[in-house]
Amino acid sequence: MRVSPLFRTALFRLSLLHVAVFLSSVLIVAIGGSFLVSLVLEKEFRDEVATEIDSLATLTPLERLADEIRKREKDGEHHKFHYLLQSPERQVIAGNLRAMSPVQGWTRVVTSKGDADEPEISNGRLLSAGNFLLVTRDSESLYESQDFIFQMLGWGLGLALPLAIAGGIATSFATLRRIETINRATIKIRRGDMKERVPVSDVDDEFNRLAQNINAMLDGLEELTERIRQVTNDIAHDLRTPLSRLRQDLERAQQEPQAQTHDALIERSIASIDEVLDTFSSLLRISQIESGSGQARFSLLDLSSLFRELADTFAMVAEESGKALNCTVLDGVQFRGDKTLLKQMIVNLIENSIQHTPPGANISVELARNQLGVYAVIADTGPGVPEWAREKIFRRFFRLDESRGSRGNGLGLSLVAAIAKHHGIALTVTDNGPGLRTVLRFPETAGAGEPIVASRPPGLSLQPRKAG
Amino acid sequence: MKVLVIEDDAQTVSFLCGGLERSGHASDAVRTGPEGLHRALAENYDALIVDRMLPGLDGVAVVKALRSAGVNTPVLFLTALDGVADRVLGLDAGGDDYLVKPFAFSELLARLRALYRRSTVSMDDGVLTVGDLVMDTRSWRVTRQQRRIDLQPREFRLLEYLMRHAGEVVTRTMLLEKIWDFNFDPRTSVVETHISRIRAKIDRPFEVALIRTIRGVGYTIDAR
Repeated sequence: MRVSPLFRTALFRLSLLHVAVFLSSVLIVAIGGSFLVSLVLEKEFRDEVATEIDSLATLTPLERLADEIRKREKDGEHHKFHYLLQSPERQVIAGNLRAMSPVQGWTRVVTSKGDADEPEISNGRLLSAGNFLLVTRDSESLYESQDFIFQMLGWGLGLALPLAIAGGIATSFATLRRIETINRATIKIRRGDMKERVPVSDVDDEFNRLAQNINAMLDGLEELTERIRQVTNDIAHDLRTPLSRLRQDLERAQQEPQAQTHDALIERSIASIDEVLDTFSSLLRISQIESGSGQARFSLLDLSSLFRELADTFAMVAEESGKALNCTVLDGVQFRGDKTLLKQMIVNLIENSIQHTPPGANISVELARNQLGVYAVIADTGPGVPEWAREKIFRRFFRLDESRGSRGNGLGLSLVAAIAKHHGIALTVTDNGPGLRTVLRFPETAGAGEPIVASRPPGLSLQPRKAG
Repeated sequence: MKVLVIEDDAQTVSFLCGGLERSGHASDAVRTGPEGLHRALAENYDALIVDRMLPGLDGVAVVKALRSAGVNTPVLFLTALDGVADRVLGLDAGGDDYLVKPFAFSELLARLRALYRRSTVSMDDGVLTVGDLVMDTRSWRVTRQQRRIDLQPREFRLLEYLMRHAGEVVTRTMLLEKIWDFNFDPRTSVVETHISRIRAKIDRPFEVALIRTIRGVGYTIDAR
């Protein structure tokens, strides 16, 4: 197996994608979280500052305020606050901060009182007579908690990264392993093991459906190959008989000096060859029809007269061999199709009944219509076909009874099936009790063919359709 | 009858020309389409046997060119292609008949004669006569020794075809194609059954039989 460079493997790319997605989502959550935390913390600090300054600003006169500030500076309860009370001339009256230009409302002031030089949350207020009061709150814990959050984030990421990589590799690997099993199965099949199948699990996911579809496709392919193999075998087997007869006859002609026997031998040889050629042309015809290239030659034809004409012709043939052929045909049924092919289909079915029934049998040909549409029945009172063989009689070279030695190459009904399919006609074989009953159901809607009934039986309400 | 064979397979050519010669007909053979077109335009033939697949110019093109040049010599197509579509294509191009390889020489000869006759016989008065058998194709009346014979429509058409080719061999395949429009070989004795019906009506009640079976080939009707 070829070793691809790491970056070209799907495993690498999928894992990388996984890690990238994981890390970015962790980052978004962490940054968002820390921002929120500091926002909340800051709000709390401001509330404290606001309460503090409110309680001071209402104190009058100025002396009382200054006293209160001095008192609070020494008070442990208020140690987190720093105060400034200055006169309009920027003289510090009370408090432990340096004089500054008055700022009304929220601001940040660097006090140099705490451990750090970070600006602290402050609120300034101008009092009567131009005096200025400022309260700041020691904000170090705010910055500390922000630092802490970022530190935790770093740690978290440091721990999450290897986890993300491991997770990425693990999921990618699990996914790819299932693809790889499919790959291995197809390689085996490509090497000729048509029995191999992709393993299917119990979970109904996309991979399982893919595996099931591949297996279904393989089943179809295997069946097709099997059928081709079967037909090839059958052809070979079928041709062996006439060809070996031919060989024997030619050898005898070579050995026998009397020329008078030659005529008979030559005649038999020609018959043998004709048999071979007949098989070939039937096979070619079937595959030609199955390839479905002939719809261009479809035309609207009178199915009723076609059935009547053929039943008429074969009634005589049936009579000759002591059988009776009756026909009931509904008038004015038209259908789009290939006349030559439809003719051959009907003839093959009628002849099949004539050939496989004993003298005295009845054969019936019917063209009729019911609520499901136009249908034809070709039935006989002969020995019929056992149920197990009813599907098989339309296969190439299938003969129900080899020993009967009846004429025919085992392709007549295959041709019928091919022609029916070509026209969209549903073909079913049932028991006629006794005998064989073949039903052809002609398609009603547009498509391969369309039956049109000119004279409809009363009581049936149908879409009015113009008969051509 | 003088026949031009346009066919590229040497063995088929010798089979055809040898057979034609033995049955008393003259024949020329060419191997390619352009040569065939040239010869058919230059000389007078009674019939042409044209292979569908030819080097240079295929059979259909040759016949199309001949027909557009006003040459109406009957054409019999030969082909290894057994498809109804091919048959229709060949006949549409101006071919008069169509024979799928392999074929029996007797089949070819019968068809060739039928073509030749069709091209020489002028319109008749609708009355066909073979010995004492008379058919009026206009009034659909058939009599033998003045006795009226009733025939079913298909029997009538079959007898008419035989009588139009009186004295010639008509093959089973020709009858299947012309009377039934079957382009396939039925497994049952369709032709034989119908012929025997006609025989029962026009021959059996009389002393002399007019329809004869030519073994392995077909039927003929004549007054001998």
